[in-house]
Amino acid sequence: MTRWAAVFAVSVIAISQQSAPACAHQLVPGVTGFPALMLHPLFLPHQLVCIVVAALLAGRTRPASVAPSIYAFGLGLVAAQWLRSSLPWILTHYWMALLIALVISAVIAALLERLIPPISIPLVAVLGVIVGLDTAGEGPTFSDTLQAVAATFLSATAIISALGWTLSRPWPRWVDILARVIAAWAAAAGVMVLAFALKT
Amino acid sequence: MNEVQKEHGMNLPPHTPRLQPATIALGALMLLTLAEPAFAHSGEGAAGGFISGFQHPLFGLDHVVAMVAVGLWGAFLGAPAIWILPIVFPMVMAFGGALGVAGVPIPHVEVGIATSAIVLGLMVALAARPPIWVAAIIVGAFAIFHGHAHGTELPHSANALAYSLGFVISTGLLHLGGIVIGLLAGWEFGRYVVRAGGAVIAMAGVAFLAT
Repeated sequence: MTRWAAVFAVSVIAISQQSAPACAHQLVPGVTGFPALMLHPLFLPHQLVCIVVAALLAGRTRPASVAPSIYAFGLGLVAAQWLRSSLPWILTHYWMALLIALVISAVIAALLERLIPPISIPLVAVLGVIVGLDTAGEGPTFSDTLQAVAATFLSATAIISALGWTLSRPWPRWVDILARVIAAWAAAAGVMVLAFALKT
Repeated sequence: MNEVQKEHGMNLPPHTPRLQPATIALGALMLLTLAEPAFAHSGEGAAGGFISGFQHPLFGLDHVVAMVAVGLWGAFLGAPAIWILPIVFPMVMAFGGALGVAGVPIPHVEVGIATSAIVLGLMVALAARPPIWVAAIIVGAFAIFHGHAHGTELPHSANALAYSLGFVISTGLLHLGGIVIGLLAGWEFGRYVVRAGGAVIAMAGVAFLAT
């Protein structure tokens, strides 16, 4: 496990040291390159809420499955890049796919008393695909895409591991209830916007 | 340690619990009275959408008192209502919001919102303890009215998801405020304070209905 962590850390550092593409926009003034790409999911509400719901799913699952959830999310990100290149028409239905995946995942995270890995991990992977479909490099090269995916994965890993690990600890019951309330909020917001998207 | 604390596994030291609900409630009241900053821009981008949505329930006193009443009643009823209501309410409210977005008319929405304050306030004032499914149906029915009112505002927002997240979180925090104040019910004097709060909410509902 330690060796894998070291390989992961070195890979991320190596990717982050590549020449940074010119950013068309800056989310935070003065922050460019790889750090800016890492901030991207945190500043886009639809990506952030998907990552938070993935973290809630990971944290509420028994036995604790934070690490498999992170791998599943990463696989989803990579699969999304294949989908982007092979089935580009899928992007025209992106918003609807996001809302449906978000609502289903959040409702399950909120309502199920006990989550098990066969339910939660595939949902986390689907959320990874959803976030990945909206993750594109600032330029057209493979290196640009790799940096964007690595940056998104790193941000998602930070959130899923921090929130997921925290929730998986043996806290009093109200902590689990709080997680379910937050999932209910995400589900409610998703239902509202889904209705809005269906209307327009 | 009172029943609410026992049911939620709060293992507090033996000498501290009696004043704790009062302290928490006082803290919540202080937070509620904090002055909000003035925003020069609203409705721009995700942040603007979130802020607009967050402010929406707070600027309608009828929404505020009804949401606080839901939390008060949940705390009064204890487990499982104290956590079922905050989970179920946003989802049912979202259903009402979806109806509003879709343009499905619900007659007398404002009357329904005012009535929610009256009924929920009376439930707290009378210390009503119906079965949980009855409480869920009462709260859920009123959630549709509140959601419909929010939903009709949604199309004007810059970022629909951010707006929705804002108003759902704001509503949830109002519930939480009600729950925290409602924890006073674990204290003998606090029980009367909470019930008096319910009566004030019911009277406010009557005033909303009259105007």
